[in-house]
Amino acid sequence: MSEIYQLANVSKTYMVGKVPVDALNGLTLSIRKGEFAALQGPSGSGKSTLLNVVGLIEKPTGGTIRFRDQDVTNASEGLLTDLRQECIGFIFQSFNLIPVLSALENVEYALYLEQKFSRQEVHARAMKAIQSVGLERFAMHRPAELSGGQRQRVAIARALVKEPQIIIADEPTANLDSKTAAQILDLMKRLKDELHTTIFVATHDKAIADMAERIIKIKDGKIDEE
Amino acid sequence: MNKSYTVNARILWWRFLLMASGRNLKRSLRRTAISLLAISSAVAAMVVFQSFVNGVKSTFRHNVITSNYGHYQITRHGFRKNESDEPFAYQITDAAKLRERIEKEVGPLSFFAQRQIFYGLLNSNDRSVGGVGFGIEADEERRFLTLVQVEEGKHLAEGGDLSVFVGYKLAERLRLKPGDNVTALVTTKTGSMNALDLEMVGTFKTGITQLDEGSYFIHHRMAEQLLKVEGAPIFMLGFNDDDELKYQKKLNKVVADHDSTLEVAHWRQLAEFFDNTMGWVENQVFVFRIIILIIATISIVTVFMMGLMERMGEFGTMRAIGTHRQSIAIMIFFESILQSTLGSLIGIGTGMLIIKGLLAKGITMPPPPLMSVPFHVTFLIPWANIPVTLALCVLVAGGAGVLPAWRMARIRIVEALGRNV
Ligand SMILES: Nc1ncnc2c1ncn2[C@@H]1O[C@H](COP(=O)(O)OP(=O)(O)OP(=O)(O)O)[C@@H](O)[C@H]1O
Ligand SMILES: [Mg+2]
Repeated sequence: MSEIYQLANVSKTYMVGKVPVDALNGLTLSIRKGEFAALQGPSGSGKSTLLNVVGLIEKPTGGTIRFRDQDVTNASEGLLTDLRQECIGFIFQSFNLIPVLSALENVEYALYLEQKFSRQEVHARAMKAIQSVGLERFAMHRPAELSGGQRQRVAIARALVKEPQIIIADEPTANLDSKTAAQILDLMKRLKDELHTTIFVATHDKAIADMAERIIKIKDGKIDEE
Repeated sequence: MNKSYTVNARILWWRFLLMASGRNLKRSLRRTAISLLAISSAVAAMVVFQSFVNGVKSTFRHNVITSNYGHYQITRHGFRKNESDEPFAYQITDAAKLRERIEKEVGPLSFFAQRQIFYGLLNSNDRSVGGVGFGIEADEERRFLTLVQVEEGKHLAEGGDLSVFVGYKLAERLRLKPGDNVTALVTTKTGSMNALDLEMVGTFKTGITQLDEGSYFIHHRMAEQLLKVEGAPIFMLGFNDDDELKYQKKLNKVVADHDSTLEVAHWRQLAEFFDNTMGWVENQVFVFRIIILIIATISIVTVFMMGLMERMGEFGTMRAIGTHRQSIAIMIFFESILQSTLGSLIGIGTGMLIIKGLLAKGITMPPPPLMSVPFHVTFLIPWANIPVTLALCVLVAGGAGVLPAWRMARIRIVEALGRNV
């Protein structure tokens, strides 16, 4: 019950032309609620693939996934979309903000999407999230008018505003300089300490790994060591 | 997963999404401008073309009416079928009275003329040629009808009682010059022969070979004497305005009431070629429309799809963070409808400006075959066609967004995310 994810014997095979490439190769893994787990491994080892599977945006070709004690291995796209919307916050390496929306609106997007809140509530919650990442002065700026670090902070605000059960981050600091990366790191630490959100992050960044409670090493699509 | 959607929150979400649609159109202004240009030129072309066709139709209609038909013709039942068997059995005799009743009870007439048709020989210079003679009320006819144009000499209306106005080719065959004498020889109603010495006052040209080669005109009053008949088998009439259909019902009633053996024929029943020709024109318009729509649709879809491909990463992000497929599809479809509505409205405005500006004076073309007056086309804003054109264009151009919307809604999320660099 304390496990949010249970992956059993998960594999993901891509066909490159006629050649099968095993990105995940019979991987078994559990993630506990509230833990901060860092995923490490050489390039091409399957980190992103694993995050995509865990993030429910990619279906494995073999094995089973249980999310919150629910078998979602063969769930419909509609259900998976709902789960992503309500339970999972994403932080991407390349920020992935919506260019026509301001910083604040990018955060509001996640709330409007849930169709649960009034306008005032959406605005108040989004504003609070923007403040918590220190961007109140830039709330009305479009992504193009923000620095890389600021964009990633908007992305973090977008992920945390809906109070997700898990935040999945794929190399969140890889596109940032070390100083900015440190700020993002601070933010993630606060997330962990204040909100007790489960965090699953793939990273080459030693600072993140040092902060994590658990380090999962992956190699050739399999858990290498913990 | 027990969601408690409220209607209000749902509306807020769609409003938010549609707001983003509007901004997307603004974002890629150049691309939007290209799409708008494609849609609006197609729509403008359709509007102007429609106006042209309407103009051609109305001019053609007017020309046919005023060439040789009038708005309506009154005859006795059976005349058009059996006239050749009993040439004088269908005379209508009370022209003045009928005219008075029509003017009083139906509407103001611009002309009302009796026409007698007969067969007879023309004799001159020791030559004789058979032809169709018309006994006409020259003054009346000339006010309204244009088919018969003077080629040489003067019009019958300007000649005395014993004048004859001859088709120019018939005149050539008889070697007639204006001022020459010619004798008309006919069989009268009673079956006897009768002759009349006439002066050829002029020749005419209609462009219709049959008439130019084999017909001549004399005054109706002289035809009555020559043929020993009273009245005429055909009454032609024209109203003051070209909207003659509004008189049809009343006219039928008054004429039937006046004499139940009479019937009224609308010019379109007599000029069958009109409907054939217009049908042909309408078919051309239809084909033209389809071609324009196809070309416009292809360019719109291409430009639209290019824009969407560039936004692929964005759609991937939206899907990843929990946006449903149908939201993506509706957002894209809305963008395409917005664009097509805007483009269509601009196109209609442009079309109107072209009609009111560039084409305000209309265009004049040389007379078409079988017509003797230049063909002037007036361009009017085709108000009656505009709602359909607008709806058609919005639907087609907007519908062009369905396929791209569907495709973007079904992108593979991971692949699309890979486009965010
Ligand atoms: N869409 C795809 N089609 C084919 N092969 C793929 C696809 N995605 C990933 N792979 C392959 O799967 C393997 C794992 O890729 P993945 O992106 O998960 O690695 P990674 O650990 O995230 O690497 P990096 O540290 O460079 O980001 C690689 O060999 C890669 O080439
Ligand atoms: Mg990766």
